Amino acid sequence: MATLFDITLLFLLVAVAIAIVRVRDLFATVMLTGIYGLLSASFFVSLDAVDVPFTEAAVGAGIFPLLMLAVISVVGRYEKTPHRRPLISLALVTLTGIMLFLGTLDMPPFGAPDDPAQQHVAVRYIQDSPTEIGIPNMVTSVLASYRGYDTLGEVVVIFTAAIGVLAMLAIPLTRSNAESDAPEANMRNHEILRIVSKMLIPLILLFALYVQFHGEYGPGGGFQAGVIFAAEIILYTMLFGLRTATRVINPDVLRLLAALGVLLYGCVGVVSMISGGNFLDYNVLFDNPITGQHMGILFIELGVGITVASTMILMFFAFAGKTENHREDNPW
Amino acid sequence: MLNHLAILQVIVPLLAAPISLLLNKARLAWLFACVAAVATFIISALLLYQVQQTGTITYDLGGWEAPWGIQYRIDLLAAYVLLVVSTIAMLVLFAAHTSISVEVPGDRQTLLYVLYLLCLAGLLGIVATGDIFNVFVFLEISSLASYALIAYGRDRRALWAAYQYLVVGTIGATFFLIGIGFLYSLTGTLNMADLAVRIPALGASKTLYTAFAFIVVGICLKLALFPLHLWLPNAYAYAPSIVTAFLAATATKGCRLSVDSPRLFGVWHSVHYFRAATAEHFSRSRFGGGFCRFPGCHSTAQYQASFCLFQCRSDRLHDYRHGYRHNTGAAGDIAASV
Amino acid sequence: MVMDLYNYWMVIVLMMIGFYIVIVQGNLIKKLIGLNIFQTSVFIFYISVGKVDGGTAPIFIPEATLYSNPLTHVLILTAIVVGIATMALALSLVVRIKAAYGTVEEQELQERDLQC
Repeated sequence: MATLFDITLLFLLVAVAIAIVRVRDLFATVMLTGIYGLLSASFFVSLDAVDVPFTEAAVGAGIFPLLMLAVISVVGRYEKTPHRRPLISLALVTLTGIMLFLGTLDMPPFGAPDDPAQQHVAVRYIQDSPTEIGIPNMVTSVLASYRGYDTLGEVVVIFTAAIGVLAMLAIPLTRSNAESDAPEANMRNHEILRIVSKMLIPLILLFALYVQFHGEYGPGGGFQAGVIFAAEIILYTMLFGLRTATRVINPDVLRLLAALGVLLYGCVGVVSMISGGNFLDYNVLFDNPITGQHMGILFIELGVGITVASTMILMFFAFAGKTENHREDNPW
Repeated sequence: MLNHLAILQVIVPLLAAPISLLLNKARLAWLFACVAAVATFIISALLLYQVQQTGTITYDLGGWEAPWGIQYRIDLLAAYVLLVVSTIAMLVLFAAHTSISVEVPGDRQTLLYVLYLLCLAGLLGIVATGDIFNVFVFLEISSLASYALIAYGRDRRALWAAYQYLVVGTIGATFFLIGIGFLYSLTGTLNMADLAVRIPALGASKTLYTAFAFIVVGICLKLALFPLHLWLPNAYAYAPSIVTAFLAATATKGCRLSVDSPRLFGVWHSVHYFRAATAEHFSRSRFGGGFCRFPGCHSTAQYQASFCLFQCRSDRLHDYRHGYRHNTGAAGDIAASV
Repeated sequence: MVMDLYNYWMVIVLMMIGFYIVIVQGNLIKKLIGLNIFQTSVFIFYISVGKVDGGTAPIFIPEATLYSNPLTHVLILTAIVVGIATMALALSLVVRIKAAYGTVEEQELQERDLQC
């Protein structure tokens, strides 16, 4: 039964991918990409991953199509070039595919419990992490403690991307006067959307905080919480306009928060160095190692959440600023 | 403090970057970045001294021993490369302020210094680490920072060059990731020293060869080894001058080390024989004198030389020549040290 | 044999479709979408490596005996973040290219470049 479900999802993924190849309307392609992300997330769930589809749905079916839509409204909706059929590229793709196929022939069978992948390092994570780290979610204990340095790298990656986006698209600093504070003309009529979203936003915020702090006991964590918080602010921005949103949350404050999140993460590591352990060794933070692990994970997840939320919002503001300027010049 | 040098080498530029972001004025950010670069240089010199005295340094991050935690592993070759990279970064940064004030408008200058520090931290992280997935993460940090730095160029072609570099680089990184996935499915570990122990026990395996192939191709895309070098001349031609100086001297060296270091994999037998055979074939080339273990760079040099004749802009000519010089120079110093 | 490895083979098909879109199609946005498909299928590959038949999600519950591999999940969480970071940067480049060149089709960009 589960195998049938797996196979169906895989075929659906292939079908969506082929549709993306053939469709020339970029708007439809972006929607198909969102569907692809959602199908991948469902597939992850059927493969027993729980944290991963949470992130993949938020990112692949949420933030990514959103940013793409913002860019398409500036860049143009239709793909112009007729598809050419260069044989060299097709040959290259086929060659790579054949190499990969040959590579899988000697792989251990899919799903077997005695695969080498499940034997060596993973055994300790599964058996000892509830006692060594003291939290039930093994993915969080690996992510935040055993391989916490990789997660610092991940936070720095998203920080780097936000700095890069800001370097290339500056957010319009609006010291605007009263007239331009009126919300977008085309959104003013959507009364229902505006009222309902104003009711939903506090609930989304609450959910984001829940996911942030509950990540040790169930699926969740800093990154997912940051994305949910960013999604809430993006919803507000879409309905009420960029100028209103930048008055609610100042982009300069967001820059500050992005930097502070990374620094918070780094400081936890520096404090543990000063306390006598290695970098990011939480056991030395408090007298009780388990308390040390808990508090260390709490602080770094907070750092991750703060940076991710502020960078996602900053990036959206940067793209939205371009969209607005473009719309003033030529309505779509 | 002295026993934390291995991690401080990477953490100092990494944490200096967000702090520079908080200092809004460009001149202040530049001064702070210079201080961080000098500190990084001093740490790398001390680290080299330590490695010469005591041998390979290992550092367990998070207090977890390898292979369950990430481990930094700095041997003599890595210490030399760290010193070279941090020296170049420091020297280029000193010259940066005058050059950047001319080439870049005021409000974006601070962000350039932040990106510069992040790129430096990424490169140092690739060299210092002993965990293969950590290589991927820091490779992406340095690559993302490089894409943004190249896009700072004044000419609009810098943007197109940065985009091409981004697509090629991401394909390379994804190939690298596929290779890591195959290796993990065979061995169950991500620590490079552990892999070196476990791989010989696997014997001849198609999956193993595919894993190597994808890792090597991925890294070659990133370091622009012929024939996968097409993104390089444009990217270096149109980026701002200090970016070209920094990246040309350091980025490809760092990637080259991560492929070539003997500590990366214990078993290189088949790959070594292939290289020795092709190296003999290419050593008769009129560009190279002696034995070069990188057949790729000789052909890069020849290809670039012929390409020079078809360019219409003289600074692209300069960059092709520069690229040729950097490739053979790199081959020389790495071949000497391995 | 097929039942052992079908998962990986389907993933390879997806990877190659994504790779094809990146290198063949000319529109810069379409290339990025292809890159996204390529990366997401690598994630599916990793999670398939970590799956254990009869296991459950790697969150400790007293009744379970067999868990799926948490390490692969951690690697993919990081890889997803890296992917979205790259995409955001790429999209900002595309917006700037449109502003500078007036087009985002690869062929037209190359033509406008050749007018040195």
